[in-house]
Amino acid sequence: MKASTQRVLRAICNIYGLMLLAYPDDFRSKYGREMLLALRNRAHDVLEGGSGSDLFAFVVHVSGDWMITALKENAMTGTLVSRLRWIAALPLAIVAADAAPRLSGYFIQDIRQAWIVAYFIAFFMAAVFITVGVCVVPTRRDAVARIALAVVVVLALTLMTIGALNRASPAFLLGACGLLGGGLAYLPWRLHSFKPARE
Amino acid sequence: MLPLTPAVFHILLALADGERHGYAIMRDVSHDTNGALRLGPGTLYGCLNRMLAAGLVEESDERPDPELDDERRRYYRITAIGLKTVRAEAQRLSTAVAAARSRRLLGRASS
Repeated sequence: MKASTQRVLRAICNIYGLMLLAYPDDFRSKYGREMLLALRNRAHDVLEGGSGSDLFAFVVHVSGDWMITALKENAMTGTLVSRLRWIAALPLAIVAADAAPRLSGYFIQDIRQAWIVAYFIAFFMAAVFITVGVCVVPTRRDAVARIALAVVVVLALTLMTIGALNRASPAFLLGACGLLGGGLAYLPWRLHSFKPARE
Repeated sequence: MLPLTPAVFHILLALADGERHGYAIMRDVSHDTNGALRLGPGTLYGCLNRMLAAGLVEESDERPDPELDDERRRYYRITAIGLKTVRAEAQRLSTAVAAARSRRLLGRASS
């Protein structure tokens, strides 16, 4: 095998070794080494006997396979859900951090209109994300979901109250968006977790 | 358990001939399907993981030729349940093919 081919093979194996980190720890420790070995063999065959287009097809195939199966394995072990929960919590944390100074005296009227619309959407999305994100936690989901929903509702109601007291319609609307977002996210989960009584 | 996914069916089919390591299974599946089904490492080992749990395959301690083979490789072989399952799936597919043939959707099988 040529030195240049060996370099390409080594590069492919190194990249795939990093890609394996996307799989759950248990799966990776059990099959990671073998997966790398199988990929090395396949890459070797493609580099030895295939053309440039074969190598491209191989890279596309392996990338697609990795993307789908890493998601699938993570979803099956619950790792994806747990990671999504934290990703979902991020928008609410950002909005909450931003909402705190507003609640202590800054009013939305002074801010440009486009930014206000973006803020409404962000709050709406945050309410949806946080509620959906924590609702899908397999264990203790009732408790976690209720806490998340309570956070959304308290924030939304506070904004609505301040908006109403100060006759600041953007603050009121922002709170309403959060309430609507939380409600929209909560209802499907509630319906999903509802178990009809046995006849 | 039936119907099996194409990947699981073809992995069992490859193992029906004897024990194989991962890359040999990948090659056999590609060969059996004329390249229509190419298993990536993620798909192959994901399926093998679930097939091991379901008792369709098992790991083999023996190696066909330890001198020539890589020690790191694990070999897999089909179990009695796996063989029964692949037979049932093959029968199911054969019935479907016969139905398609009777409706002239397929040509006659070449002997």
